[in-house]
Amino acid sequence: MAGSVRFIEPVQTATDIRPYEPTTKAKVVSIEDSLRFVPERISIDDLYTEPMATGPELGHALRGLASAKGAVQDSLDALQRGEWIASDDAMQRVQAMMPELFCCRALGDGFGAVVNALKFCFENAKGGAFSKEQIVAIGRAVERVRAEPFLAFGSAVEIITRLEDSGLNVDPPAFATLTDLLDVEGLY
Amino acid sequence: MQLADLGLFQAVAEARFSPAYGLWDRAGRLWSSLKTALPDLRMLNAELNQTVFRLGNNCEFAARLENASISAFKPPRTLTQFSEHADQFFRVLCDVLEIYEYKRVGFRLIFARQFPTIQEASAALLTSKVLRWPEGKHFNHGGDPIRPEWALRWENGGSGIHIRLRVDERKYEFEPPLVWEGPPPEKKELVTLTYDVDSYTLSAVLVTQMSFVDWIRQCVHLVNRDSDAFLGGM
Repeated sequence: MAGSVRFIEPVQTATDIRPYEPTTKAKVVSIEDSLRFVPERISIDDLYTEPMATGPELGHALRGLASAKGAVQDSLDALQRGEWIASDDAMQRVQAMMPELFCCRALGDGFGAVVNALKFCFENAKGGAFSKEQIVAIGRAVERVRAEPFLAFGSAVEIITRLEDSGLNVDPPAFATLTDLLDVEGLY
Repeated sequence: MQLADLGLFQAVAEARFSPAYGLWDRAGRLWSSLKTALPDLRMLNAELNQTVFRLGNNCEFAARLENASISAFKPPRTLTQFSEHADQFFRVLCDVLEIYEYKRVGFRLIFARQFPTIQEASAALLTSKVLRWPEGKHFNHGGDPIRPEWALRWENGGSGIHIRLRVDERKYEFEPPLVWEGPPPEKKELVTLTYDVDSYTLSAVLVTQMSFVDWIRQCVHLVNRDSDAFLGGM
């Protein structure tokens, strides 16, 4: 090729690999044909084995969501034993993690939307205890957003809808006042 | 020898996926979208099954039917910009081609240290503690082996890492066009001791699990942390 740097292959045998071959020319072998390919999806913990070595948001989010998931499980276990106060205590531990998770919403619109919704679930409950169905819905939301922290906004809307279906109020507390005001003004 | 003694020669991030036939329809949209984020991107090659674009003189993006990659030659060691470019590229790619799952994600770092001759580069690897071989004449050949190679691979939990040490030779030759008025052409030969680290997944990865910025940062951290254990004996 005139006028440009020509790349000459190093001396190689048939078994040599070609590390400097431009990737655009590299032969791609289907990973599914490999005996080592594992068809199951990788878990988030196997993908990010060193979460604190990733960006600060992801590291904190994975750690916080793992704690929240554990606390939700503790709450359900306590409920199973009929220990209502212990169950409520565990859910309050989940609530305490929300501000830190809220700070990680730069991870994506989907993550931000779910964390916002969870935060408002707790605020709107005003200290009241959650039903088992609501705890399960919160647990599923936490689990999903931890497994897929970069989920799309559309997927987040589905999760939020399930929270609402369980009877949780996911809207900001001021939202009701605002809608009332707009209703009075005849704009809503 | 330590990792700090080697220069970062190449970084490659690659993702493989089920055939994305949308590439045949939407290659233009893909690169137009990416060009909005990276205005200096310029087309290098466009064929039915692959499109290749270049950024500056050391970074190349390629989108193909079953895989896509970004590679940078001699990037800064922090790889901050590289990982951001990778993240932008794969996000746009998945959005435009409607890819929801990667079959494999890989990130490869190739470090190199230059030596005057093949013998000296070979000696650097042979005198290290990582290679052992029986003394004496073998297979009717005596003396030190030449162009040695050494590799290890670990795989578990759906991911793996492959590290290699070897001696490489590269030759550059510039063939000027007719009536060339620039500096006289010259040939260049480079002999390097190469340390090649390939981090990859063996299981499928959801696009919604993957942040290339975070994953590359983690891989770089692990390479920086653990490489001297292998290179320290050299």
